[in-house]
Amino acid sequence: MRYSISILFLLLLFGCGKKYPIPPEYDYSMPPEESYVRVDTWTGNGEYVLDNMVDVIVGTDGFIYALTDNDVKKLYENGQLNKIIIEDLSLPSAIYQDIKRNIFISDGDIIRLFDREGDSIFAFQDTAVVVSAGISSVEDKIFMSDSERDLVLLYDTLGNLIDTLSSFGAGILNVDKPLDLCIWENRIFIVSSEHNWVEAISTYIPRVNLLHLGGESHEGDTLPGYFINPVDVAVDDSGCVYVAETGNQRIQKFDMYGDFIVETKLSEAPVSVAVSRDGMSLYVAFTDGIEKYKRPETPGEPE
Amino acid sequence: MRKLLIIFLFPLVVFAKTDNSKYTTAGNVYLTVTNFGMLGAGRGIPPLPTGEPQPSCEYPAGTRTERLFRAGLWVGAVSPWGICVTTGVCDALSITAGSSEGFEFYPTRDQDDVIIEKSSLMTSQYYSLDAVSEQDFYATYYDTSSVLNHTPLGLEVCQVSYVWSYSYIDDVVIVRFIIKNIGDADLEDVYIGMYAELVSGNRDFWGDDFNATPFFGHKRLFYKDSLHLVYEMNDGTDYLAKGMFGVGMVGIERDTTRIYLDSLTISFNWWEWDYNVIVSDSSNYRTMSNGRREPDVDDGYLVDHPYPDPTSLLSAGPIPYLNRGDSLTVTFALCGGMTDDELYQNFGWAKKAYETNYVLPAPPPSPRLVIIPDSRKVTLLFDNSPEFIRDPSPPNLRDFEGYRIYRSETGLADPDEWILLYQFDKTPDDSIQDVDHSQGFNTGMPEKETEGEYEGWYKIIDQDVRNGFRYYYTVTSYDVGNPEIGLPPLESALRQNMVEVIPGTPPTSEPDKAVGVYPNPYRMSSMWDTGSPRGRVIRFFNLPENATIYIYNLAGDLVKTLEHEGVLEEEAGGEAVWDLITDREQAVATGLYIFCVKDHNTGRIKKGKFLVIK
Repeated sequence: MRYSISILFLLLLFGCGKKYPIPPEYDYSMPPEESYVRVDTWTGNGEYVLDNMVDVIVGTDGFIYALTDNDVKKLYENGQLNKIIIEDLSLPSAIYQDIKRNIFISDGDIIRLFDREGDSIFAFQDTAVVVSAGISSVEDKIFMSDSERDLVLLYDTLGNLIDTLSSFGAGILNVDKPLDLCIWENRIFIVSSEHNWVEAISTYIPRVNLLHLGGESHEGDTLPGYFINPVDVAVDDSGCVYVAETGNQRIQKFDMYGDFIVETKLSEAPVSVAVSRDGMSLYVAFTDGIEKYKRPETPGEPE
Repeated sequence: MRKLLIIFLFPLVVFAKTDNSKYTTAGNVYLTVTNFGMLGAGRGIPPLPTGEPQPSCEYPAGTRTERLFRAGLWVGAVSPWGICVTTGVCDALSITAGSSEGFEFYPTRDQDDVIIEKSSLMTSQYYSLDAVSEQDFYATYYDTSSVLNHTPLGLEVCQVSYVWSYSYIDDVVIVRFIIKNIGDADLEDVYIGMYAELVSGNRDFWGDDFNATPFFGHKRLFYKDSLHLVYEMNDGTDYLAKGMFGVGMVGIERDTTRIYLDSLTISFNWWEWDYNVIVSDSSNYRTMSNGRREPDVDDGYLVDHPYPDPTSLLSAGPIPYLNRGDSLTVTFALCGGMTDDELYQNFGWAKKAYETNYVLPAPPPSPRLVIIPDSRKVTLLFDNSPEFIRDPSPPNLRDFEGYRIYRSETGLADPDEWILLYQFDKTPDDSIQDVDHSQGFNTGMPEKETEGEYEGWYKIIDQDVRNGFRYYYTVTSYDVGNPEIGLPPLESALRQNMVEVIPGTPPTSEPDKAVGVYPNPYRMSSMWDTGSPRGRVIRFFNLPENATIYIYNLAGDLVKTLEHEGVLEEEAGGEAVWDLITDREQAVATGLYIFCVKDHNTGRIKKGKFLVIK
């Protein structure tokens, strides 16, 4: 017994490498209040239809923005339509709302910026970009991922390319088919789909890896803490990370240190995931609709 | 699963410390304010210590005419949870703090989170450097409590009310609501409203339990578009409820930017009060945003319609966005007037106060006042500090003009209860020449005390008083006014430095000064009896400073022992009262009584007798 513990320790120390944290073992005794329960499915109603979904976010303003292949629908949290806020998009792939409530959309090789009313503010085009798959912004910086060229790029608000955050490679600061981006505090989360990883890189210089999810290899796995074809990432106010993956058809939740918390199994492959600020509600987009999941509320202690 | 259900359904219990015990007293409106989004008392407030009911909204103050059953803030907005309206007050029979649908603002659970009072008056016990008016009330409450059928917008409301005693604005209570979005989401198309159950009723006409009477069946409700003012008056049935009272919207600010009210959709709605009708948030929102101007409920309206018992809602919006963390300030004024024109003028002063950021022309404060009672005279001593005070309103001149000295036998707020004893007016050759002092009586200032603790203070002696009677004195200051803006001379509040006093003999140990009793004989009553069981009193005079009074009946039984100590501020010190109740808590019988007074300082004993005839 003593030998086996020593061997296990050595394996931990040398065999698994020091670069990446080892995914924790799945805790089957996870309390039910951490689980998410599906409470609603939105495919549209008489007012609108959700089809050809591309992305979903919970906006900075608290509304849900559903990006389809040609428009953006602003929804209440019960799935009712507030209004179709943006129309006539050509090849949209991602949506983001910044702190000023402006809405960024990556549309083909064009980055489009709209105000909260849906009025166009400006757009810029980087002809070198092949497929802009993810977009995010903070403090007058615009981050975009090009999934074909395997780049994560940084632009200023005039559309000038000012930096390359990440490029193709096998290391933790490299990406392979980067898809969605998400910013929380000083870290930008990148879904590196072909790596089966999700990385958090500093938004400041020097660029350092602040969080790594998905294990040490590029193989992926069905185990909790691993991914197969991750497509989207979202972060709530407390820093918990939610990753949607098509291969395992699930959403996994991690705490801000990357420790696995819970997984939510889905009936089909998700397109995108969004989370409310308090982490109580998940919105999972599929090609033809959105499913809403909720965590049970725990009553507060009377003072 | 059952556990999950229990977790989902477990209601949050509200342990909020609601406070509805405060009401404004500095001006001519006695308005109850609360820390749960309601103005007015509604029902259920315990009576005051005097036994009188707490005023809901008494105007004019002291007339026992109520003007408002209750009013409350409404906030409606489009949120990610849909269209939501938080209502501070709604049509309801009663209020159960923390659990009633429609009463959706509550303070925190902190037991100290009650209404805070501040005053700009240095003579007030609530004096604070950051006070805005003579009586500020501060309260903070939230719409995030668990209330039946309520979806919180995530609002924190800091409510501040301002009151002044200045004659031009004393009919006004200004109430500001600083509404902050503390929730998780932005609010869009925000509408703000004031729900009001305006109704006039005099307690002397309807009785103190007039909520149980049909006092609400005589309202006439009006709306003045140009002022954004809703007001109500009685149809004349209650002839004691004179004048009118209303609530109007004064202004809205987003951050520090004022929003021009006429750029918003202003709605004046009223409906028939009905506690049975449950109205959805979306319906309330539609009402707040409909831009409607309902007809006045006047005599003409009632020719064609049955009497409706109208409940009003004055609302404005939309404010396009109230983002997370952002604030919106909405200011209302509740004010009264005896006529339409007076009401409009008073409301105009509320608007001016708002526009000048509450820097108002103010009278000089009342001076510090000390009263020294004596036998058949009262000496008033007051300082000259008001003469050096600059008016807070530009151009900040020292515009003091004179003093007025008043006396009252009741001390009530009603000016008719006070008689003007003296008026002292500055002369044109005064040493302070910020303003022209040639107007007025130019009498000059009174004589000053030349010695002692109050050397340099003005000194007045009132000799037209009787021993044993209670008097109230006050000294007010007034300024020169400002004829250019139609502002008359302003006088400080009548009761700002009020002192209560009972003249009487000073303490004495001189052997040749006999201790006596008055009235003697005591025949059934005396003029200062209050009528209460212990309100019948006789007074001993010429007492030593520290003494014991022994009272015997003719049989030689000791019926009462009174200890007389020291000097009370309000009394001369040489007198003591006895309520004619024995040590055995029995009223004394008719008869002759003998008393002995033992002087503790000299050991000397003085004797006397008095007669009680019942």
